[in-house]
Amino acid sequence: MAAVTIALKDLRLLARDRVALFWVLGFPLLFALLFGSVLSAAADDSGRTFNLVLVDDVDSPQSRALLAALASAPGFSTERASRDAAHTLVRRGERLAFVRVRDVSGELGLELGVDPTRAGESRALSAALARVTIPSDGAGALPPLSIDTTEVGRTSEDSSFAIAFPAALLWGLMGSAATFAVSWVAERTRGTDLRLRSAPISGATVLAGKALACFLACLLGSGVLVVFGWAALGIVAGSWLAVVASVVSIALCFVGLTTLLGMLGRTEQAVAGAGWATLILLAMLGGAMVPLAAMPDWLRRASDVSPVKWGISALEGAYFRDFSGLELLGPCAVLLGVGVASFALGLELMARRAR
Amino acid sequence: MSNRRPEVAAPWSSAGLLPNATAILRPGDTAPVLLQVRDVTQRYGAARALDGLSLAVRRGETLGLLGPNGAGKTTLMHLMAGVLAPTGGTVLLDGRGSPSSPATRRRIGIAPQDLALYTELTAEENLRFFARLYGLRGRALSLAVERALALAELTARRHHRVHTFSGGMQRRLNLACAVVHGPDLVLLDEPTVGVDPQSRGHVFDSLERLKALGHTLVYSTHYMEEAERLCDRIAVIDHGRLLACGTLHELVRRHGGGHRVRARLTRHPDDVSSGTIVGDEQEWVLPDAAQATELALKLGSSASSLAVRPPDLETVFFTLTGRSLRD
Ligand SMILES: Nc1ncnc2c1ncn2[C@@H]1O[C@H](COP(=O)(O)OP(=O)(O)O)[C@@H](O)[C@H]1O
Ligand SMILES: [Mg+2]
Repeated sequence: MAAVTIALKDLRLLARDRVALFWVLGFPLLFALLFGSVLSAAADDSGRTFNLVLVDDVDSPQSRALLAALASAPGFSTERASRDAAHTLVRRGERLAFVRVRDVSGELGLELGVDPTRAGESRALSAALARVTIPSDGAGALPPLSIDTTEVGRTSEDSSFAIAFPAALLWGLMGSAATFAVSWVAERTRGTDLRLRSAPISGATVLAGKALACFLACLLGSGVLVVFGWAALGIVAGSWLAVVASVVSIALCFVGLTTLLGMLGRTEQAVAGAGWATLILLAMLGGAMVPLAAMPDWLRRASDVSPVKWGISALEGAYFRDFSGLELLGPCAVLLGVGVASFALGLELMARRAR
Repeated sequence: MSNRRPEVAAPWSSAGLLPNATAILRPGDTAPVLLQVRDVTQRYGAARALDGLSLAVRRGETLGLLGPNGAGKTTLMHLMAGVLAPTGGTVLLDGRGSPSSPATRRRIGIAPQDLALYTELTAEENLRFFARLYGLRGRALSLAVERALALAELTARRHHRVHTFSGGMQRRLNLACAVVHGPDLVLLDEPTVGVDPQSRGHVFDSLERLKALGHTLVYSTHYMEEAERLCDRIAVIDHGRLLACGTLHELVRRHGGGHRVRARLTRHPDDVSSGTIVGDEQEWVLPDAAQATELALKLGSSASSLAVRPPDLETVFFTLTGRSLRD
């Protein structure tokens, strides 16, 4: 009961803190709008490697020659897979596109299945494919080709806003987390921590109250954003249940991180500064600022350490990648793991400080 | 705050105001011990904030902790409130409960030396929050909040946020938050510190009302006038040790030293011994008021200035520590 009292008090304090509210709601909305606009005009980048899955449905000498040419062409990183496996890889965002060689009324044709979040790259890919498959010297070893491009995943049209939305939601959740990391320290610097400790409640109750406040703020904040996205931007999730599961996992992850951050710092300024710096670093690494697709390969691999990446992955899965329950489980498990680990570390620090 | 009198009159005119307030006892040696501090030591690294200090707080009394900054008053308060666990020794409420247990803490309230309030909440919201932490709900909660607001003379400002309050008002609210749950023992750590003299008067009014209600108070200060005015007994503390404890009268009698007569003489009277030279004055210390008066009369005709100072807490402190309370 006392934990609920503390949580409600903290939410009331949050509601009266305009700066904190901006980080929880205002900034994510701005981000969704700006980033959405930027995404739709995303420029291509010729120096990048395209990660492709190749599917050969014809299996003739010509088709094999064509795929071999693709595999050896500079700028392509390829692998072979069955049609279904290729589709899944692209749908999950693990590959940029699949290239399927198929029979179009007796002629060889290419079907290009691209990741809808990477429109800019896909355009560059089409151009690069054309360079490989239509020889410039005219002495065509390869027959002329038709290239059809389709988007993999949702059948309905997703706006750029929808594609930017998971990252925006993550910014809102990070805003809540940062606010509550500061509220931990504020309790100490304000001296109210002394009253909490002199009250007939245990340290665990205080901790539970704080954690509950952070969790509720995360849920309320993302709730508002999700409803706004749906009502004002027409962003509809593939599975609302998956959205809820993702948001809850991310919120729990951030509750843990918040507890840890709040225990690490001594002053409000230090926690606000270090907290935001940490979160922004995780956000950058996790693709909430620059999409993963635009990162060099080594950085994309490094992004696995950022819970933000897993958060975005879960939300994208829920919004437009049509993740199955099992596919969603992966990122959610990582988020929960990070949350539990950092919460435990925060508890340990609190116990040490009390000694 | 010119309207404060009428605002207070109504709720405080009836008896038995705070839920757990005991009947007004004249504290004397007969009142039972409410809080026993036995041989407590508090170390911070190598330094000792408290060094084998023992003290008893009797039910219904106001005990003053008098000592300069750094004496260990706040540390002692925190031990009494259960916020700190002593490195050595024990603190017991009613001979049984240690303040480290929540059940015992329920009966204690502390007004910390540094303001401990949520400045973005209103006065009432602060009080409601702290009262809830002590398990108060519903009507009992509302009633407790009303009483605390009245005690602090903040009823008219109840819906205002604390950051709009003056220093004195915040001090009063800090006090009200300590008593809102009706504790048996109220710990007030320098409740008038950092407040201008006029607001200090207001804070002091609240303290006197609290005392009049029969609460047991422990009150730390480094202002001796406050200790003299409010406290039934005074404990003099320095360097984490208890130097003396007793009523003002007892302390002055035992440790006050003599009556001091100071004069700037134009001519030395024949039948007067020469005193100690202090600047351009001479000083004599005499064992009682009668002898001091007699000397003053003799000096009267040959002095350009003359003062007689009876022993007080200041001289008690000086005798005990060799230092002045205010450095
Ligand atoms: N957390 C702490 N760490 C180290 N030293 C402390 C701490 N708190 C108090 N002290 C030291 O203990 C002594 C007593 O302090 P305190 O109880 O605040 O005195 P007072 O309230 O009488 O001014 C001081 O010398 C102070 O520096
Ligand atoms: Mg102090």
